[in-house]
Amino acid sequence: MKTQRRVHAFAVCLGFAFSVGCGGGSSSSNSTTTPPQTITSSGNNVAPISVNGGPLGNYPDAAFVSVTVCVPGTSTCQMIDDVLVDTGSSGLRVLSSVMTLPLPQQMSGGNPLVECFPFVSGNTWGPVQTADVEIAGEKASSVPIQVLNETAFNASGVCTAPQDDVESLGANGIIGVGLFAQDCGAPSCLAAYSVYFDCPPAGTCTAVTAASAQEVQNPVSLFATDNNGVIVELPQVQGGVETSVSGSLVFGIGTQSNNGLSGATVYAVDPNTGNFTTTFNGTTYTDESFLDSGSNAYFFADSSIPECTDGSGFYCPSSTVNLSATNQGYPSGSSGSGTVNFSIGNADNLFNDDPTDNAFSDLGIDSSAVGAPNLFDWGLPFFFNRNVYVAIDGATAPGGTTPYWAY
Amino acid sequence: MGKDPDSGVYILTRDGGKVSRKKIGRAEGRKSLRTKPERALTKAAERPGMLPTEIGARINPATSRPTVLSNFDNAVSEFIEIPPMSKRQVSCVTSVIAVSSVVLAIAFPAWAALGGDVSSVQADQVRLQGSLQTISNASYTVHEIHAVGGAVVREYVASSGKSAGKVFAIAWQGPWPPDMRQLLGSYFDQYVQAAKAQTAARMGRRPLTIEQPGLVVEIGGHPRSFFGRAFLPDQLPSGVSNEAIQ
Repeated sequence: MKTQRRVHAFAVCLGFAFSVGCGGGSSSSNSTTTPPQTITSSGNNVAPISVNGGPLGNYPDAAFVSVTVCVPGTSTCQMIDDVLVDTGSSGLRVLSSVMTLPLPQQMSGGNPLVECFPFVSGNTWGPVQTADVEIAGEKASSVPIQVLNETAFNASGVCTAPQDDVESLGANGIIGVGLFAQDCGAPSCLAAYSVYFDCPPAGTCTAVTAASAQEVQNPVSLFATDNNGVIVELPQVQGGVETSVSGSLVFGIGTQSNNGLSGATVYAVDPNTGNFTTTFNGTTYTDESFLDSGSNAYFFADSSIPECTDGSGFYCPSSTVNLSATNQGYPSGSSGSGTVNFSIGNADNLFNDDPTDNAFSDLGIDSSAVGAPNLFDWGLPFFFNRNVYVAIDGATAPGGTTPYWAY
Repeated sequence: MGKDPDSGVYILTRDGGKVSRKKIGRAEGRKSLRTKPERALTKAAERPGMLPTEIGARINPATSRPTVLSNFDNAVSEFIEIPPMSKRQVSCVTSVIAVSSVVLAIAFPAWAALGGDVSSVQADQVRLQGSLQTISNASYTVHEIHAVGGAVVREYVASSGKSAGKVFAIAWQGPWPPDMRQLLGSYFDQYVQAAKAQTAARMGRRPLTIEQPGLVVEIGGHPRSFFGRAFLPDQLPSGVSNEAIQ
């Protein structure tokens, strides 16, 4: 589907071509003021990512990376392909069905520590184990990760409908490279959250409080260097739809010559919630909006745009609509702000035009079928044609107090 | 939520004659958790005919953990019951309801599953500690619970009509999702099946919107910040719109 964005006559985004310049903004209205995007393709802190449908080829607007996990302190390693890049969470989760390594189990008292990690689309369930994690030239030692396995421990009654196979997850794992060093909270993850459990070999699991060091960790925080955040760099989707697009996951912000802020605007984030503020259509979502590469569409409410008829919640306008919203850092008034122009296309047409397409710049989903929306989720389409910086809470990074986003 | 009844994050203190609320732990100052309830209260206060009260209750004191609440036992024990307000007094209270409170030291039904009978859930008080606010109008009463772990749950109980005395809607927000099995009660299985079906229809990780003839569930957010609501569209009291539930 063609959109109204300006297409450069010369700059064809080749994804992995060296420092490809993908000019233009996300819409024609700001293309003259947005500097050309530069995607970093070389460096020991750069991992290739691809929006390619994932292991089953059925996952639209999701970015995947390869991650190597090793038995701690050894060279016994395994590369895991097709791991979803998620700026909305923190920590590495891998399907046990693709794992071949015997990893040491994290314990809670005398019993295995097991996690039920909540995502909106479904929980992940499985034991917390320890691995060395390698991506690009970066390495983190003895990282608590979650190994997703529905049957190893009894989830009954404590973890509903976990997504623990490739069919339900659409990926071999999830790497959360979000705003926080731990997946749940510091200095501990309370038992009241029902996230971590003490699971006896036979019997019922009991919610426990996990100290921050026990929690599943953002591997980036544990890198020896380049550990203050990441940059997600994805090119423009030419014509709004492509089979796949490729970009980079860059580690560190301002730690090397290839990961400077480069004039990006910094949007500080509420350190409790990981949210900032978006104003759209006269509604201000105060501390209720977020950038999330793990959401595979723009997710917001606009009652003037019709939904598709298949019940999926995707928007299906008769023709592409151009929209605008304002993002404001936290707290309002003391951090960056700026306008974002974006477009919503007809999802039915986008999906049905060519079943092999996986990258869509204009996918939107209605966040409330019955009114009263309460969030604005800038999903993966936001990341196209942008370098999005994610600075980790508590880390030192150029541009301001962490945690922050910058773009 | 409610798996650990041993810690509370919402406490009540008294300074002279003024009673105030204070959050403990990281939830303190959490903007979204502070503004939403206050927004709801403010909205409710603006509704004609609304009778807002705020009840600060330490739920089931016998089960509370002394290490958490002992410092505030005295403050709590000093709370006195305020006589019911006359309608003329209500207008005074509505103007300040968001910043100060009438506080009653009484136990109160603390939790109800969707579709459940509010009077049948006394046993669930064990699961929650924290402050409880109620807002009533002609159609329903909102029980707003500041629960352990920083979540805020609002339960809507119909005052009259076919769903009188029943929970017809629940809205919540917090760092982590509440116990959906407990919240949704007999609707839990329907929710799980619908969620699976939606995921199967189109691969993706995204907020959830379930809209069925007898059940609406909407969940959004991300780790450390979840939002959600569930209601029974055919059980809404007459004149109550979907937008009221948030």
